Amino acid sequence: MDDSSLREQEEALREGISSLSPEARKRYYQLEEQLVKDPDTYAVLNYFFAAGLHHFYLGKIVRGLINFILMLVGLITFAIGGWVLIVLVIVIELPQLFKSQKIVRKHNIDVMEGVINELNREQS
Amino acid sequence: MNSIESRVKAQQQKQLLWICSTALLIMALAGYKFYTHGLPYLSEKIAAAIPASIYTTVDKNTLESLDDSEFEQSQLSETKQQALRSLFLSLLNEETTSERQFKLEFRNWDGKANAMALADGTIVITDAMVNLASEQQELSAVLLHELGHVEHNHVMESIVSSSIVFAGLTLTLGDVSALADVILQGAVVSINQSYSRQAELEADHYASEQLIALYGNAQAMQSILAKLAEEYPDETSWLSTHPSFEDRIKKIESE
Repeated sequence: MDDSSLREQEEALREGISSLSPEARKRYYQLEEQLVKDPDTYAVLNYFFAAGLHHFYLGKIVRGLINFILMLVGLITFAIGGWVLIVLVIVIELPQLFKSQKIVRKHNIDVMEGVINELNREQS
Repeated sequence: MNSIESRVKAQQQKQLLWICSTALLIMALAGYKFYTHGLPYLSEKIAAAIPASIYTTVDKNTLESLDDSEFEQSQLSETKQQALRSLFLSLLNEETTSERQFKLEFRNWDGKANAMALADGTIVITDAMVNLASEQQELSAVLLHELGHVEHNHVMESIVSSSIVFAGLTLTLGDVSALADVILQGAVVSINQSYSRQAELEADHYASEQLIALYGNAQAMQSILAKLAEEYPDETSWLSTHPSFEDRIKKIESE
């Protein structure tokens, strides 16, 4: 997921948008407004108790739930070694904080590609 | 509404619900854990690391503040005060292991029977409490209870604990101007209100053990608590956060 490959995908996305009919393009932009995620919000939700909120934000419910349950068990059993679980979750999750720009950018490209495909299917 | 739009809306609502419910649950649990485990642990460690000079300053300021706002001069005779100081010293010499600067102070507090320990070992006993605890063993019980607070460092731990909470809230809410008053306010608040029930039971336990060592039984502890219960039937305790007298008597009996 390097910068140039993301740029290529964004370029392909732009071409996809321009290929839509004016009506579909209008719908696309309306959906984009709702679906596009903000990397800063993702980063804040990541370090907020490292409880998987950033996964929920991107719609990854299962991953978020795993994160949340691990954090919950870690907190409940904190005094009897649960802190190890919390440290583990933080070690796994925290690096994503520093890659939040790329992660969210990639997510937005994927989601909007899906929207273009659906709109194209509806058109045809 | 079109199918994509309605699906997106439902998806957004679901994500928001997950984020909010998870955040609330984690915050509640983390807050509870910090309050019940983190705060006592941190308070104990920080209080133990505080230099002795701070203890002395906190004691001095707290007593001055209480003298200005609550206390009046004791009406007990000098002979009575001297006798009680001798009793106090005898309890220290034989039973106390702490390195605090112990001293006994007498005050009148609106005729209320009360006793309290300050951080560095100053014990304040009111005239009404001296009159209520007519037997020497009962006075020993009251003084040993307060010495128990000093031995377990309850006062400084309570000050540190309230200061952590106060500082945390102040920093979170953005008003740092109140930060300078944290220690003194924390001291007064903790002396007046924040002895925890656990701390009271620990001090009772300490006093009972010492009484048994001195007199062979802890009957005096139960009898002074019974007198206080009779004297103040509407109050659950010497201070509002104490357990009820009945609970404390039962606890001593069960030990």
